[in-house]
Amino acid sequence: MIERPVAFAALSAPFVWVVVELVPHLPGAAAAVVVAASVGLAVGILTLLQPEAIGIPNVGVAAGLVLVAAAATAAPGALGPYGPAIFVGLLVGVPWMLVGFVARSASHVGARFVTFGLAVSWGLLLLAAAPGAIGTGGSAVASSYLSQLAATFVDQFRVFGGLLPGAAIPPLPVNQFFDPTYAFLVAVAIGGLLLVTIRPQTGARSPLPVAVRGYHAPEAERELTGSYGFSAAQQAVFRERSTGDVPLATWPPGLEPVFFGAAAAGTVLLAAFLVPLWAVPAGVAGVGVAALWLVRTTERPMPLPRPRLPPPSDETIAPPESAPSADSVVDEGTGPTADHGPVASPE
Amino acid sequence: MALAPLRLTVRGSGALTGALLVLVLAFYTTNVLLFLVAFFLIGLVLSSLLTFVSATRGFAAEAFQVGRVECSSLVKVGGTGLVSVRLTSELPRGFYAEVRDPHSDRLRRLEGSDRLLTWWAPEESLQLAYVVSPDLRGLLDVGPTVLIAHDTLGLAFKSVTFDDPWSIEALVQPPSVPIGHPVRLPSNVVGQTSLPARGAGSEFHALRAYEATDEFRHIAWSRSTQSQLYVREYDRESQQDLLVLIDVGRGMATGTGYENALEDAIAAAARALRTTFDEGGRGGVVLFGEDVRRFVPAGRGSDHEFETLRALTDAEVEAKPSSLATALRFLRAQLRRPTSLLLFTAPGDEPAKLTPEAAALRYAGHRLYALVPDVAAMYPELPDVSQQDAFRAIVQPGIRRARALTGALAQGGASVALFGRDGAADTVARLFTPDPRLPGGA
Repeated sequence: MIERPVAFAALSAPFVWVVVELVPHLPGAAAAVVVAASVGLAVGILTLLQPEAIGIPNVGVAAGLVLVAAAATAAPGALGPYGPAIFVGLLVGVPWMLVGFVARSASHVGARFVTFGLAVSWGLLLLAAAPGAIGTGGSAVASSYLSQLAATFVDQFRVFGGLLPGAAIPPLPVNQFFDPTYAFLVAVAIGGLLLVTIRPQTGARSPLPVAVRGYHAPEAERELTGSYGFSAAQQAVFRERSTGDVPLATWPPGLEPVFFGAAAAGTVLLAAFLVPLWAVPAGVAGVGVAALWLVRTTERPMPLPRPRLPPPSDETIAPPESAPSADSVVDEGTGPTADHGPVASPE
Repeated sequence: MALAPLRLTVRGSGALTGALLVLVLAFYTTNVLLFLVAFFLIGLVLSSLLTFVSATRGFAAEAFQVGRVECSSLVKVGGTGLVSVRLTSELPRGFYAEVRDPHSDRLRRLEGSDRLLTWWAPEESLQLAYVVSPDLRGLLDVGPTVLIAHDTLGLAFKSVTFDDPWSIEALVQPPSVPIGHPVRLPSNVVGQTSLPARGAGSEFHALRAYEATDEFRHIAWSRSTQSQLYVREYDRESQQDLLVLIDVGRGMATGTGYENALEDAIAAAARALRTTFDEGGRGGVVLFGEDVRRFVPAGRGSDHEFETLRALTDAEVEAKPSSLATALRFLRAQLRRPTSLLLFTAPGDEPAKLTPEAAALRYAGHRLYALVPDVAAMYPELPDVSQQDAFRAIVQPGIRRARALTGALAQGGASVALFGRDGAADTVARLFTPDPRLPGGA
């Protein structure tokens, strides 16, 4: 069961790139990297593990890191000249925490989506704020980077607030920013997201069998363990019962949506690279059309498909009226007969 | 045709909401990358739902052929029965199907499964089959079968309920008489299973060859020869009619869950009737609540035995209190022969009104044995003494009422006794000893 570590690695890929892009330009890079990575990994490990598996060492590490984070947030100067750098490191470590939650087995799928979106957005903000703070000499002051990051954060809120009245989108750093490497790594992270999300299951999380062809247990395992006084026909009915298919290493049926979704998203992604201005309107239109079709097909009565099966010829299927209930036997005064099924002995 | 609607699961609605919130984030950043991520997630959810909707077009109860196959309908308590259901899909596409066949919790599943979760290929049949054993008597419901179609990712489902209910009638089985297979209850041959007991009664039964242990006074001298002596056999005096009266009023619900006074009474009544039938006696049943619900006059023969025990099987506690006086008045008009009346009751009548009714029956030559549930003894002991004291204080009115009831019936000439948990059958067993004096009678 290595899919969760693999998913965590894939989900972390864009944020490794964020660390690589930012930290070398900051003073005290080593400390920032250590803190960012340790926060991310520790929280990631904690969230990847099930609650009952959380041991005292892990909790101690997490508690220590939380104290450092609290001190750095409350008073960056309290940590000495490296305080702002450590604070930047902690901010860089936030997406790691988020993807740790995404990869956690107990997380809800909706929470996974939102958390993943938050992580990507956070990474985007971190990268978009960097060019304004990094000096021409290639070195940047951590405090100025923090100021630039805060300004970017607030400006985006102003843009967001102006969207509804119809205000034009100003050329802000995040709006203009597009890093192909980061985009590619986000695509890799989506693969990790799918790895932990896409698995055949019911709404109640019962795993669905993924064998295309039903695997039938050996004949001996399908027999009754006791005679129970059943008739031969009843024993045959029990023997011929259906069983849940045993999961095999075959591709599960019904996973077409994965292909459809990936194809649709890939098309939009391709369009985004080729004609960026048309990608978003096309995506909105596609979603709208799909939603309308969904609503129409669920509310409109559909005609039954023409039955392809011949009428049932199995004589063992007894219509209810041919097997009278216990009440009818009494009312008619006929007494029980063999047609009503056996009254089996306890042995 | 009522098509099953598409319903989102909690997971599905969460996924849709989460994907839309990512779209909100995209509007916040106004960055094309976030829009792409949001559209990917929304597209994934919607394409999953659309594929599911497309695969389950025409999903309605009418799109399936459903039938119960070789199901048992009459099973003894503790015996075994088979429940099965076969479903054939007429849908052109396959889907993940979950089939559930709910049943009464009184039916214990021994083998097989009442639930199936599998991929249902188009135009194939699924069949559930499982073995059940009733823990208690009664008309036990099976079904209706529920079919749930799941999408692959657990985001949505459709469900239909089929009109295929079934009932298993769990017949009371007196524990004192083992019944082998083939069973005797279903036999429709009158008299096939009667076992006339012969003893020292007054009614002539038959002649048989003399044995060394026979008394000389029973020798039929006029029919005997020098080489062969015959003795007369007589029916036992105890083979008089036995009529069991079962109160199904609210008072018989005393107890916890299925371990209540009515169930104890049913078990004891079945045992008494079984003994009566096995000894060649005539037995019958009266079920009464506010009024007489069911009256099976005393009789004998396998068909009658079956009907009598079946009447016991159908007894269910009612919400209203019962009227014992009404039942006794009814019987006084019905009974033509001297009859022993075995009564299990916790009625709602004024106790004083029962005395004349019981006395009238006694005056008409009938014997009345009344067993009344002991309210305090119908519940398990509580672990804490103070709790037990509090409980006794709560049930004290019921205890006083039971005493008043037994006193009134005793004044009318009835033999009365109290019974607690599992105590009714033992009390009745003592009642059916050669000297049928009830211990603890008032």
